[in-house]
Amino acid sequence: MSQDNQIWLENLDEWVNDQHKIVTYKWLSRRLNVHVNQAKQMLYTFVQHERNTKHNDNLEVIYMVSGLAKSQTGEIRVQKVVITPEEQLDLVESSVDHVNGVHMFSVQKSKLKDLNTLYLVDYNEKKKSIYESEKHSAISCIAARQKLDVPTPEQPQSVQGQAPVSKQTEQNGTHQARQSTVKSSHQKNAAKKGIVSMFANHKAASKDTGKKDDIKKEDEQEGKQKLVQAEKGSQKNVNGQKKDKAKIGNLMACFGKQAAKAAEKQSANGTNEKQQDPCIKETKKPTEAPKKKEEIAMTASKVDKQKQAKDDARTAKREDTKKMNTKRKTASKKKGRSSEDEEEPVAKKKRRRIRAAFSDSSSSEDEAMQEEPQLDFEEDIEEPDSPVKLSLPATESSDEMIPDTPQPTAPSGGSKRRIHKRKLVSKTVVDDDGFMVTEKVWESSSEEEDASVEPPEKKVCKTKEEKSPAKTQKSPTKTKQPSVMSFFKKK
Amino acid sequence: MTTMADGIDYLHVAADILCDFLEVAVHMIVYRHDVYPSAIFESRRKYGVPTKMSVHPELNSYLQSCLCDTRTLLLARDLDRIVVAILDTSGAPITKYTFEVWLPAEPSAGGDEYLVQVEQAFREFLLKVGACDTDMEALGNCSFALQLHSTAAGLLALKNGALPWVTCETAQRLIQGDARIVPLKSYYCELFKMQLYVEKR
Repeated sequence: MSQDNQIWLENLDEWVNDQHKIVTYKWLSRRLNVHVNQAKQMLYTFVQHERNTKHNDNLEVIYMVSGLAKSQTGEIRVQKVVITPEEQLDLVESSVDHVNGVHMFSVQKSKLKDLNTLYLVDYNEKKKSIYESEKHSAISCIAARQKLDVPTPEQPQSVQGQAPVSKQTEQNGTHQARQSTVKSSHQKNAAKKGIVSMFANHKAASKDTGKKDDIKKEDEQEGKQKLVQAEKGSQKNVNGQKKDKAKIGNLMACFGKQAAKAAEKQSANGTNEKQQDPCIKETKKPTEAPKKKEEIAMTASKVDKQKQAKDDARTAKREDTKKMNTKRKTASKKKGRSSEDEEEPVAKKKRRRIRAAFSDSSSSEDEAMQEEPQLDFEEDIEEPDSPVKLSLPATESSDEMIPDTPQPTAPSGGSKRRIHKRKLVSKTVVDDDGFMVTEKVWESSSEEEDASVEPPEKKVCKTKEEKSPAKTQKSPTKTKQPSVMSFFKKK
Repeated sequence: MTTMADGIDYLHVAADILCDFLEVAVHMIVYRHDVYPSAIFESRRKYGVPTKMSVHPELNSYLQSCLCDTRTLLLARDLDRIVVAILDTSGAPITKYTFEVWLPAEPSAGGDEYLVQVEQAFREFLLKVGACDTDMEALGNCSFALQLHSTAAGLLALKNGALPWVTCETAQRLIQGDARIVPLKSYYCELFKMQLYVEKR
């Protein structure tokens, strides 16, 4: 507070004593962006400080006195507002019957001959901020609103026209000033909050994505664990599921969880007690353990199982649609099945079996979860290259292309071929005069090289059979980078 | 040298608005220093602000004649500065308000066709004149003098002027004793340059 006082006292000292300015309370409030009443208090403090501590009596102070005075006829009492120099202050106060207020209007170093100069002081400052003329004023009209659709040149007229009609309500200056400062601080905070919240959301999102693996692991662990939670009510189960969805919100995690549960269901097959979601475990209360609620829990768990079965079917469908696109042809190659395409209506039922077989075939859920991103990755990689289109002719015409394939494989056996090269060689020859002369001469040399070192043009001519192992070789190298990309894509 | 742009002679515009302002300023200075009784001054509105203007006919005619010759010098670009000197009883200057004026070779509006910024600058000049910290208590019975600082060619041009101008003596030009200069205001635009400072004891 003292530092603030110091600052504006120094400012006032500079304006009044050094720059010889006329400092009115309006000018000061606009300049320091404070309320007019606060500006008056500042002026008073400054004058007191100058006169008491610095003994500077050269300051000229002009006061504004308001009070009730009798009119000339003496019958009506009139509110009188007088701007008067300090010398005539007592005279003016005595002329008024009841003094309502005495405010410091302005402080200056020079003696003002004409008080109209005060209007001149405020005029220029008011012109500079014409649209904020009532910003720090104690008199404001609540009904006055600035028209947005009116073009800008007409706005000052409307503002000036509204001024006399405006309802005069005195408000506490400090309160308004505080409000303005609070508002500004709120705005700043809001802005900060906005930015911070953005980062917070981002962090949360990143945390969510970062915690995906943790959540998956937890889900799997909890899926493995067989916990009997009969204390749970049906509503809590439903809420727990909602929370689960909200928490995880990921198809992969859901799939992993459901897969684990499906596997457990198949393995346990009724011997085990009801499994529940991991979040239910978190929300369970140890105090609730009556046997009466077991039945309710049983029904709830049944409902959960039904829902899980539905979810299983949905996830299986989605996965099947994904896998069918990628693995249909490979599977058809490997197994040589031709009946799948024909039995598509039956395939819907079989999908569940396939899903179960997939989950069963995988020794653990971890492997299944690890396979998932790989599948996605393969899709991502193969899609731009249009592998389906390429693989189709390859599979169809694989028998036709077989005669071409031995060509690259055959030279790998060690056949050699001649390569003619031209080299720049420096030769030293003894001249007729007996001087040694070195000359650079182009020489052609022929060498025998292995056919394994081939120009890249020939690699293009290789058959698809060679490409397929190359793909399998490339895939482990490529799997790392796109997995990172897919991580960012999921954001 | 042409000063026409868009059919407007901006040299004449500059000279006119400068003389207009100088008239108001001189009235204010005279009023402020109590050279004449306050009763001969009345409040008028100029540049959107209240000013004090004399209603005394002789004083007004005298000032108008002076400013007419000032305009002639301005148009001829022979005017360097105009000084309103407040003289004491002995005729020695106590306070001098100096308006240094300079007109460019090719004056133009410079984006201020309606002279809004010029008007605002004139208001600030008047404010500075009205709020100038001068020791008015010691003046007492005083008078004033208008001094035009011009070139020799300007002096020749003034021979046919409205007033019989005389060369200023050194004693009337310089403030005796320790004088100090207080710069009040300067303004620059495409039409003219002007700065105001006060010399006082």
